[in-house]
Amino acid sequence: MERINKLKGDYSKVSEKDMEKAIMVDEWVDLKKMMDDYGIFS
Amino acid sequence: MGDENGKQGNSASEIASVTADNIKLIKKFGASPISEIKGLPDFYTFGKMLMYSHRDFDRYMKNLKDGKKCAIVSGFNASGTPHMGHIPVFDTNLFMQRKFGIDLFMPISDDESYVSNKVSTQEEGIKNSLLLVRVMIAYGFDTKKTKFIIDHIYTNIYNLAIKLSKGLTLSEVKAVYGYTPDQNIGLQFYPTVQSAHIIFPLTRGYDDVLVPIGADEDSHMRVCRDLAAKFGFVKPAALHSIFMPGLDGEKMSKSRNNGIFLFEDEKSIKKKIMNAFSGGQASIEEHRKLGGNPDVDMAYFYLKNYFLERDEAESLAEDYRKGKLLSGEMKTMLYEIGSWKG
Repeated sequence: MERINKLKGDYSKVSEKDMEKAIMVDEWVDLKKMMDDYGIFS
Repeated sequence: MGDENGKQGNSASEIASVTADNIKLIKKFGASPISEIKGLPDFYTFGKMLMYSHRDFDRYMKNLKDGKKCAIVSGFNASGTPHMGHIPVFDTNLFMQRKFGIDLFMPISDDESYVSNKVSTQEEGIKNSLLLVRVMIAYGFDTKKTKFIIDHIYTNIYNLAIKLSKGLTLSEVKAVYGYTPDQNIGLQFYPTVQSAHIIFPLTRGYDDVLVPIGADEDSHMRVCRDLAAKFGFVKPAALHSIFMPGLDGEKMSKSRNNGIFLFEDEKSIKKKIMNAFSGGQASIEEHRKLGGNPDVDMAYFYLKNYFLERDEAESLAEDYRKGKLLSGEMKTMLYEIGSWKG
């Protein structure tokens, strides 16, 4: 249950690189641009 | 029954029927009780029976012990907001990944969110999906051993869905999902995408796959297992979690706003907990005299299932029954033990 308590703090520590590592993409997808366009880290 | 704070609940029937879906799966649809498996993993979701029933979990565990390559598939809808009801499945996935080094595939069905109008645009579905990935990584899933399949971003999944679609007829979809001819064709096709999510690891060198899900989602598993067999794959195993009710004792839902959401602010969570359905009496005097009923008390239900050891929970229940512990005190305990302050 400690996961719930830590979640808000951990959330800010997730990086674009973490996301790029874990998301499967088609060859044509520019994931970094997509995250920028949707403001995932803004 | 109300409580000494004057909060009245309308029904406690949901709590009693928390496992009704699981029991129905066992009696009518061939699932098995998890309690029959010897040597279950030592983890609270198994120990507390939050994972109540299964399909072929014993086979899956044997394959795991025999060194076979095993995966877990655990999906999410792009319109969903993680809440307490998801925790048993999240925690089980996390435990299995850490304990056994299992690769986790997490499909996020932003396509289904779109065709079922849960989001208004495809872009909204993609954005929600990316935010969910961030939440799940924050939850602790290992990015080296977790792969997120966002359907709009990994459209390769449709190649497998098209293959599987030859094994599923519209009549079968209608019978299982209840779709009607006036509903869009994207919705009617989606069951094959969902099966593709689950079968996907089996096309990538994995020997077995496990899907931890809510009992109400087992119909998808039955479709998928039939499809897997038709195409020569092992039937994916399933773990069914119990149905976690909301704080009002009814089905947890976004529209009822009766769940505790992981990113909810402290004030809102406190208000919900203090208004939770209780097993207390109408006044403090009556409660002290007659005692409360922990079996229908939602604060107790959450404390027991999420936070307390068995003996601690039993002791608390006993104090409640005897009227030593008030409903307000039970709720305060839940609020404080959860450290919701973030």
